[in-house]
Amino acid sequence: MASRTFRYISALLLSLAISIADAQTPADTTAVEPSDSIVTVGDLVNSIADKVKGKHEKKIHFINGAAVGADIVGWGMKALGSDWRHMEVLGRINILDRYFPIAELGIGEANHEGRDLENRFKVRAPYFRVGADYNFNKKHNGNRMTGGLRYGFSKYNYDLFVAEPLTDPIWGGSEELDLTGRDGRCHWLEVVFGLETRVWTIVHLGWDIRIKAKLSQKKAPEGQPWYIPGYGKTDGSTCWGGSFKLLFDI
Amino acid sequence: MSFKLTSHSLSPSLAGVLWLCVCCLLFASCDNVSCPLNNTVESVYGFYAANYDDAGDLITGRAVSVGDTITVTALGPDTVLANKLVNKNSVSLPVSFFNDEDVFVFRFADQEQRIAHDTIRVTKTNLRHWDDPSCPVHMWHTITSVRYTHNLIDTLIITNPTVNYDGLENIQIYFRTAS
Repeated sequence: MASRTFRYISALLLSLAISIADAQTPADTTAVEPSDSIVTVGDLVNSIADKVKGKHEKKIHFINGAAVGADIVGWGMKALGSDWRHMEVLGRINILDRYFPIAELGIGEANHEGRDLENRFKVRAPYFRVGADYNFNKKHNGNRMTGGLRYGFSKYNYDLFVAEPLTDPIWGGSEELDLTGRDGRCHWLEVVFGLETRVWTIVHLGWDIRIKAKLSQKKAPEGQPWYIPGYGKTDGSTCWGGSFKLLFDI
Repeated sequence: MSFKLTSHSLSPSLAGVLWLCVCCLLFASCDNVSCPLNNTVESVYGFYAANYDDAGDLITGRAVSVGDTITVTALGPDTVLANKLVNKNSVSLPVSFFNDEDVFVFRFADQEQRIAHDTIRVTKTNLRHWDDPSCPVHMWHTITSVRYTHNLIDTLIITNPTVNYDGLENIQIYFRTAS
């Protein structure tokens, strides 16, 4: 599984590199003006380089725009009836087409029933993340390969509805369990790697994968939540996640 | 405002987007739950020989197998929890879910049918615990103190006060030795 995933990622990186190279070549060659004098290949190359350089220098500003968008994965999970999902919107600023401070706000929810037992876990709470991405692509053509960091936080109440009462088989006695309204909060960090492309003038599509690690967590003494809004399922100390973003330049 | 489709950069990255969706679904579908379906937990009592050094301090950690036949009964429900154990170096006993104190009676019988009894009183706190909705809710315990009689038992030491389903030794029972 790991080697296959690595192959996919490698193929995607290669595809992006090829697409970036292709994006430059045809547009630039058509921009060369005819000349009355004899033109050498060196003149042509220098002319193209000057025009491309001038074109790019004109376009890039310190605050080079902003964008808003949403993570479509969560909406898709909701549409598919997943027992955990999130609805997330984001906003970011483009600085020099290189640095992208970003804020992500969302609502995470879970309504999950145990496999063999009829215990049910429920949570629904907002979360936020702030951080920044760095664009590794030096060409300013709308295609971006990014790496970044996020800090995430969520405060939530979670419930566990227990189907069967707790019964002592030896000493006797039975108790209906009320494990609802447990308080929790979590701080975490994310390391993000993503790819993004411009599909129309102001429309971008992109995806990222991210590994998340808890910085601190408050949980009820009875047990931790099955799902933390914004962080994900809590099987281990770290957690993988990802997003599929639709972004609009504003 | 005019929209222009930049097809030269669309297809490879869109392919990447699709693969990401597949990867996300694969990550999302992983669900590893490991927990016992039985919701009782047991406290583990290890058997040790009580030897003292010249300064009169207990030498800890000398595990022994007890040759006598051991039977353990829970006082209250009067239920036999361990029946006629021979040559064992530990015994695992269940813990009451809701009581603050459990009383265990240890009955020792040697080959000549000489009988001795010791009583152990374990004071504890009880805590409901869950790992996952697919697991039953367990009652975990924290041992706060032990009291005991001294017929064959010399000393009890709480080594791990938390009683859960990890199976670690909770209490060491040091038996009197001939020396």
